[in-house]
Amino acid sequence: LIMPTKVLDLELTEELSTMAVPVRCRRVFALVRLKGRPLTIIERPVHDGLIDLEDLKQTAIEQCFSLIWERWCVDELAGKAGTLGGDPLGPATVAVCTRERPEDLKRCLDRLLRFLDAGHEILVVDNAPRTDATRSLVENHSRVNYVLEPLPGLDRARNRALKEAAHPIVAFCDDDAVPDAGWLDALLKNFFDPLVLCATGMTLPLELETPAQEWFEAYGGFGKGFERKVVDCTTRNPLHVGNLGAGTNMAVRKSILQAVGPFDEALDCGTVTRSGGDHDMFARILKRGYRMVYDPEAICWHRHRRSWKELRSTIYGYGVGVYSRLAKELFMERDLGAVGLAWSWFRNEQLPQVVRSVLRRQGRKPLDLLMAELGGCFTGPFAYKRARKNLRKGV
Amino acid sequence: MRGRDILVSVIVTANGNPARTLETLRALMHQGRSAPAEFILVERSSGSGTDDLGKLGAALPAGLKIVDGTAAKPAAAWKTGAAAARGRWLIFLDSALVPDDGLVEAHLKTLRSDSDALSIGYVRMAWPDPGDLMNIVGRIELEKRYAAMRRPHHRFCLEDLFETNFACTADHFERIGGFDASLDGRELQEFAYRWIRSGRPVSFSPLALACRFHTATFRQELSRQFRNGMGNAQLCGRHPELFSVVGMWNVKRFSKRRKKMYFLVGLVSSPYLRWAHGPARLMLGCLERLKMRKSWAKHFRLLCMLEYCRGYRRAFRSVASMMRRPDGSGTPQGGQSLRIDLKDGWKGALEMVDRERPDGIILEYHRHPMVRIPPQPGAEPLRGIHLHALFAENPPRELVMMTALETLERSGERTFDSGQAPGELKPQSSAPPRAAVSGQPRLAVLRSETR
Repeated sequence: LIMPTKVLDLELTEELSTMAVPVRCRRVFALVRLKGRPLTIIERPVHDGLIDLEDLKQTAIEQCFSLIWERWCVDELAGKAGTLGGDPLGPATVAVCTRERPEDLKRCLDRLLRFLDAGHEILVVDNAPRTDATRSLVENHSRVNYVLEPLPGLDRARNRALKEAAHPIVAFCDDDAVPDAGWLDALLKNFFDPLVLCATGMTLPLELETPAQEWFEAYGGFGKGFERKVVDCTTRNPLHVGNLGAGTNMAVRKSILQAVGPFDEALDCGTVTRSGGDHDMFARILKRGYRMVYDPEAICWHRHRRSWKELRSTIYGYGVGVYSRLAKELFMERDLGAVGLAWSWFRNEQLPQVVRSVLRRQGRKPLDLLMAELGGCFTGPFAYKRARKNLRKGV
Repeated sequence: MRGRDILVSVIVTANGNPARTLETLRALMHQGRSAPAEFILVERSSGSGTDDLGKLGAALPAGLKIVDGTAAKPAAAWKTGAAAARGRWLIFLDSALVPDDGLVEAHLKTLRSDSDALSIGYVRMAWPDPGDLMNIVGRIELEKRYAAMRRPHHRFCLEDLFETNFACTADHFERIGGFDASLDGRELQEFAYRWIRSGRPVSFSPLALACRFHTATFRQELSRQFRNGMGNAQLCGRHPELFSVVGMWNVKRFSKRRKKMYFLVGLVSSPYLRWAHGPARLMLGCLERLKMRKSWAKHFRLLCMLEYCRGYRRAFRSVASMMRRPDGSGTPQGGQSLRIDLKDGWKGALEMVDRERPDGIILEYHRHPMVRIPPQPGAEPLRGIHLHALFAENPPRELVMMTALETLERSGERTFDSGQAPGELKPQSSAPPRAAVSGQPRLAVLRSETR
């Protein structure tokens, strides 16, 4: 991989010329939009610290020629038919669950305060803080409400946010993410459908400055494509929710607590299972007969982990989380499909990647990341058992 | 005499379950309304149901008129209720539906804005057991239909009236002859068809919300499909022009092999034989146990189709008579399609459709056919807004290209024809970026692709 990479946000309808970037940048990663809506991602090499934006634009136009016209037709000719229908929804609550990351939180709040209308509520849930940094930061912003959740666990913080939220729809954004200007509106418009309980958006890298960040994106990242997806249990196996987005960029109805139940507090960050709380919720939503929407127009920019150590820990955590969730499906829900899914993932994804990496084939992934993920997978089921025990003890 | 003192008559049909009926009536009578109303309960159940309702006596809300419709088919019961009604507007409701606070008012609002309209209300299924796959699938299917009706460009058809939560004016109800009580099923659809054919509009009132608490059992759902099949067969007999829509002559509708197999099994099996239910239930039970929801839904739908086919078959003496097209089926309602050449502009096309109200259209560009909306028997005549649907989801490529061409030609983009270098991209409100169609492929290429 070439690094570092300049992340750009290009609007096709704006006049563009050339752009100077630091000479050390060797590549550009550009999100191309048309009238604010994402079209595609373009990656190009950078020479002598100059990016020819016109050239980027032409590449984008060539790639998305038909799509641009389709969008135009829908916008100009379809009239109201192009919209999803229904009356405008009222204000929503934006919840940011955080733990000892005041710098990231500040950036996130600044962005939210800049773009959010006054009617929306912003809630910061401070999860098991060790210092007063988050509280002090929030006290400087009159529009932001502070809630303390003393017990650690991201899902605990999410449940707390759902209980404290003043509005019927709660959008979640991670503290290390920066929402786009139209992020909340793009999420909210999906709730016209009464069966939709959860909507997720596209998450893109905020920066690609280090090999760890590059590899996180190459490993799969959070982006799940440019196509809007609406799924229910008749069109999608509820266990296969990996490509429906992530909890870092999602909105749920507050009524989810009654319809599906709270987030599983034995899962996700802050517990021994390290992740999986969001996907567990997605699966439960589908199983109960509700719908989920992935809408790429709801964009969040996420700051990936900067150091290799952090990345390895994150990937290990994902392995633990996925297999914790599958263990839950198997032992708690008696869903035998979890075994098949775990086996097919191991056989078709993980094992070939490890072999390719050991044999040093082209397109391989770093072996230590793969081994970290595998290690996490083997630990996952035991971690879930331990997390349940901890939960019962109230730890 | 109608409309003197009472403006709205709410007709509720009850078939057993007095507790639920009472809940429905109370919810109805206690909601706020801007017009004087009367409430009519048509009691269909015989024996214990009527007795139970009688026992409720004092618990029944005051001012309720109870009409006896014992052992009557649903359509006959609705008709009895409508005959007893004195209001200018009629609202039909089922006792299994518990109305939301604004139901009456929402229907009234629709009727006040367009007195000719048939106002279809919104029914939401509330299921007590969230693990019941059949009801989960049922609710998803139901919501899909309502989601389609919510879209502004939806073209209403007879299939859109499928729940007993609707309202219309009593005059129009009588003028088109009310319900057909001789049908064994699909009475609502038959009524909706005559309503649409009479040239009156249909509209969806999502705020006229009612909750269905009754969850169908496996057996009930299959017998409903059976009745639907029977009803459709009768519908074809009554209205031969609907044969292409609800008839079973078109095997292409069952394109996949398994569907064809089910179709054939349903076709030839004895109408009275229910041999398929046992094994099918067993298989569905296994799939449910294995949490194979997608397969479950697929097989359940196929089983419903089998029952539908059996029901349809029952209305005929032989398979041959069933496959025969009835007289008059060749001329669908309304007849021919209107040809519209888009070289005159999109706006002109919309205006022409609004003016002509055709049953089908063929969109052309310089006489080259682009898209066709065929006449659809049982659907309302086309309006301009229905054309918007062409662009709402997956617009046809030819149409997109043609629109691009038309826009460029109208905006006088001569530089494209001369093949000059692409101009700068400028923000434009009414047309897409010039550069989007500059370079390769150029206008000539576009034109060749389009034709």
